[in-house]
Amino acid sequence: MADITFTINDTSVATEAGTTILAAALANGIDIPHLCNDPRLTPTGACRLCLVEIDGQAGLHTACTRLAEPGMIVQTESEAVVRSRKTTLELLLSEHNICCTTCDADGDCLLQDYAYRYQACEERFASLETASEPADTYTVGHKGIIYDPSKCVRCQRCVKVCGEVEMAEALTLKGRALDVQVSTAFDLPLNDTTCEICGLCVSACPTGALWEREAVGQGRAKDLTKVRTTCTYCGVGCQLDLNVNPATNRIVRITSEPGCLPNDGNLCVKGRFGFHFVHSPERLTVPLIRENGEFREASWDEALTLAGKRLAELGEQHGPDGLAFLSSCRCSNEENFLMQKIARTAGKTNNVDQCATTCHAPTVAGLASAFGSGAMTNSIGEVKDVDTFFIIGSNPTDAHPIIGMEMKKAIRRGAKVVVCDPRKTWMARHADVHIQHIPGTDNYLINAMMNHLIEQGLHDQAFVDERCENFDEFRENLKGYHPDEAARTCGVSADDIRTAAEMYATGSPSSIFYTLGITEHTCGTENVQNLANLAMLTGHIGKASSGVNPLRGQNNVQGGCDMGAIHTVFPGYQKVADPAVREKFGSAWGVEIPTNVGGRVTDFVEKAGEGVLKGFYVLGEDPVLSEPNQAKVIESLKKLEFMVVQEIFMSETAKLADVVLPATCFAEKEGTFTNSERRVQLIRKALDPPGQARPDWQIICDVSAAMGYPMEYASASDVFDEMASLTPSYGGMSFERNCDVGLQWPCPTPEHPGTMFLHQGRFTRGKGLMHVIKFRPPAEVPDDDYPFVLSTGRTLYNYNIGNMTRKSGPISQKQNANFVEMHADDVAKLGLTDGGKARVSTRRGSLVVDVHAADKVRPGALWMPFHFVEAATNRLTNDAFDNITRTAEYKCCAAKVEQA
Amino acid sequence: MAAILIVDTVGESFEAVSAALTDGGWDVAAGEAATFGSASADAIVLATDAAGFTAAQQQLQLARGSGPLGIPVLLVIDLDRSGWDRTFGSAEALNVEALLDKPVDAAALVSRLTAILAARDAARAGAPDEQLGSIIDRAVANEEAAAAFYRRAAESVSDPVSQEALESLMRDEEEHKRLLEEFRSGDRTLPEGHTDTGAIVESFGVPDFTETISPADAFLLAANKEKLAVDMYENWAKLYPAGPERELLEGLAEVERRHKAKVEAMFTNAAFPEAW
Repeated sequence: MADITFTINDTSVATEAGTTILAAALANGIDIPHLCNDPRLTPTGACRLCLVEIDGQAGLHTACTRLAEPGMIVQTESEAVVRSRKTTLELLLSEHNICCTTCDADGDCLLQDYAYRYQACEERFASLETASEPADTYTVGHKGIIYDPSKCVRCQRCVKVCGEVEMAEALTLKGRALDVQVSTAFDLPLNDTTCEICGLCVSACPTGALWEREAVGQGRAKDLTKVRTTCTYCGVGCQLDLNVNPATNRIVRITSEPGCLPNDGNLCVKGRFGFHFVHSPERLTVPLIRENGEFREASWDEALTLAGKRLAELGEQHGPDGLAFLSSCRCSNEENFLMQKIARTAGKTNNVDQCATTCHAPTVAGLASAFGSGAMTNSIGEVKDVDTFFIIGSNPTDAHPIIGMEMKKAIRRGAKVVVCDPRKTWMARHADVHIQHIPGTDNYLINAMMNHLIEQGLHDQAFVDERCENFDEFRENLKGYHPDEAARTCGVSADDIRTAAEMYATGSPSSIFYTLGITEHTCGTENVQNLANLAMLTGHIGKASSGVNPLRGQNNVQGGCDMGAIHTVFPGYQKVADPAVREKFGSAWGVEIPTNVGGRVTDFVEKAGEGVLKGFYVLGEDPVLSEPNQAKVIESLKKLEFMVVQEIFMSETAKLADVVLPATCFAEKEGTFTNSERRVQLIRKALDPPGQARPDWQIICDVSAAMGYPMEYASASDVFDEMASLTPSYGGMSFERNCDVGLQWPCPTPEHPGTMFLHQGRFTRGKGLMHVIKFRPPAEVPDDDYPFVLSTGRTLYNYNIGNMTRKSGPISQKQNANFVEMHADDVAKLGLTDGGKARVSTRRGSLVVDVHAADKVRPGALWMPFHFVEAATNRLTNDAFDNITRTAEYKCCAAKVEQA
Repeated sequence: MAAILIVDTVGESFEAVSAALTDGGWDVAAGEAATFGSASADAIVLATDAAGFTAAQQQLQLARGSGPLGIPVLLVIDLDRSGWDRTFGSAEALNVEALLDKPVDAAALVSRLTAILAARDAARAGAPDEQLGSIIDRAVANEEAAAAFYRRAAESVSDPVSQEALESLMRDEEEHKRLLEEFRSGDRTLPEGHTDTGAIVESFGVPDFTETISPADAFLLAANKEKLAVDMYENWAKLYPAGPERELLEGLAEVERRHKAKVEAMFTNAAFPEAW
């Protein structure tokens, strides 16, 4: 609400109290030059270009630091201002390497723009020395970023964005006067610092001093076309601009604009530097058919005909349980919609799934049983306003870095943080309380917290009475979980349990965030139900910035589920078991919808191994690497009679296929992704695909036609329209409506603005159900033979099976080999060395990997990422499953470590 | 002389009603449901062939969607007094000034119409404060009637979740009534602005009442009641020149718009869960 009115250049301007003159001017279309200001940062007042005159006040004033006042009269282009500004620019130019003709920032440089605008003379102060060349800076040898001090204006944006937004504090200024440069502590090479290669420093640089090294010489602003699209990595759904050189059909760099939702111009290392896979020579470019055990190239017609014919034959011969379709959370909503459609029409089966089973299925089962709906309850934009975070089994700064940045904003504001995690993550190191519990003891811990809250009367009885049910039984169960006993079972301090509980309960607003550290257990669904219990007990649900927030791991895992690539539901979670729903879809598609129960991906693997499943169509997934107990998965898939894999690379699963169909990546097609906060956002075609690769949605249609069920659409938008017409929760959406910031479902009508947060005033199921949760240990616990407990997870730099991120130069330079994190005491005890090799073994397999010794994990615990095909961690993991969702227990299995 | 518009969807009651009103000294005109709201009549008699509460409500919605509604409505309808209509078949529930069973009793019709018009004339003749007071009284009575409606509905359904939903709607209406009473006593102001709603009930339609009504449908039903209230106040406001009466009615319309947005949000939350 505007509550101040003042005047800029004879124009009346209304703004909020506390707004700087510069911000008010920019918001009203008045451009005051500025180099050091960035809306994401605290004011600096260093560059002196934003000086303005204020009536009645002596001298000139920096508009970026001076707050607007009622009645103030400001001149931004008076004679005195212009004279000062021009002189400042000429001083900057005097020490600037004037090489605009060869500079990559030509046309994208504020210094150049302002110099032209004020006709600043380059030679007025020609005696000043030009700063040194980039040969000896902190970015030497770095594959991602290059710093050229001769183009630096010392505005400090890069230093401040690294410190204030990313909170990595890798950069600093060094030297005095003309020798001031950006550097790192002790001039360490960038990769040896706390730098996370987010590239925010590059994005904040107003000149060409900081640039993406691999973009140098690949095209200037006038050569590039910016295509706005949605990031293809995690579930945050960052909006980014692919800067494409149409002459070379290549992405040159990736940028993002401050102000865009949900990432406000910020990107992480994967979003900014993880695009090299698009141009990889390893991309599949031509259809392949296996013949005599070897792949040979084939025409599309031949490959599609064979794929369709064999799948149809196997369906006819073996019935609905003889075929299965594995869709992909890496692909678009339209492609997931078509994948479940082909399964239920041409395939005549409900055997369709996607990788949510691997990760967040317990979220849906747990939250749906507690609240009635399994989706993230709040939005990413609400994160910065949280007062107290309760983060459990989640490493947001690594796995969801932009949500991590939003949390950092709150921390800088003074928000309190409780982290429960067996690892000392970034967030744990910055937490008010870190509970480093033994993996697999989450439920004991949560029960003990709730026991303490009830005992101390710190729970919200009024909320429980009004909005929840089953409290008495729930409370009775908690009596067996005293914090002192929990301390022994969980291996933590009882006082910390009490403090954490009190901090969360008394925060306003408090919010729970969790990820796979909660779900990937044999008790994953119970873990989720217990977090729902905690939120209900304290009344921290159904309000802005307050709820239970599972952070989805893949770019479109929410959408893959929404689209009904699940055996039990159609798009929009309409039940297959409901005859009226079957009739609705059957009528729309002109078929009789199958009634077989269907299964999940873990069932597909099992049924293939039993010889029941005969034909398998896999879209953009690699179960050989992603499913637990790899040897067993390979053995099972080899028993299939026929497998089609549609991929962008020759994956480990594709190597076992009979037909491999070359597909397109996110930069080469149109469509939508739905992010973790239920926001449906567009992806846009920026590049032509390599070779004969085609958009997945077109390939699925052609396979379907070859199976005997033609599906014809003119565009991805057409597919979306059909989906929306059958899916009430998406009913108000279209490509046209979603092209700006996207809409959050439910959005059932064209007039509906979308839904920011769920469960306001009432749970979806009416009363929230408080579950009685009893502690169950993991399926496999340490013993004398295997004395360690092994957890697996994602690192900041790599993503899932690594086939995309590891093709990036900057990323592979930073991290390119599997490793095991061990406590330094265990390393010493076993005679291992930090940086040396060790053999990690479980009852299922064995790997030799690097040793990372530190105090990041507790003694007796191991942690390994799963990104490395040559040392696939899922050779070790346990194929024990959550009994409700069949999600594997990736977070706990017994292991041993030996000298390699 | 007052003018009465008769809308008879099948024509079977027109002659009897027309004769009774003409005998009563009123000018009578015939109209169709679609033009119902645009007429400048002093009162409207709607004789509908729709059977049952829900159908009648839909008829009213159709009629009221097209124009001003400061005009009293007398609804002539055939209700089954043994079933759902016994629970919901009241003038309050249907949001009309009078409810008459078929076949219409001419004397009762004339009597009710006379009383309604006399009350309206008395309100119009009163001091400005009295006119404002009567508007607020009407608004409070509407909230009271809505609360009573949800109470009856909650008692009638079998599903505990639906029952809970209807009870929560009842509590909401009681809260709305309390807020309006606070406004009447000068302790509160009415909101300004124009809240955009998602056009949910306009797209999804009005569900039927059944003993097994789902919570989502209960919210949709509530959204429709709020929509009718919005329409009523908006159209009523159009009858007044700029001034305190119009401002009050526009404020009441905004109150109801916010209620509609709230129950539509509850509908979307209940209707589209993520559950496998």
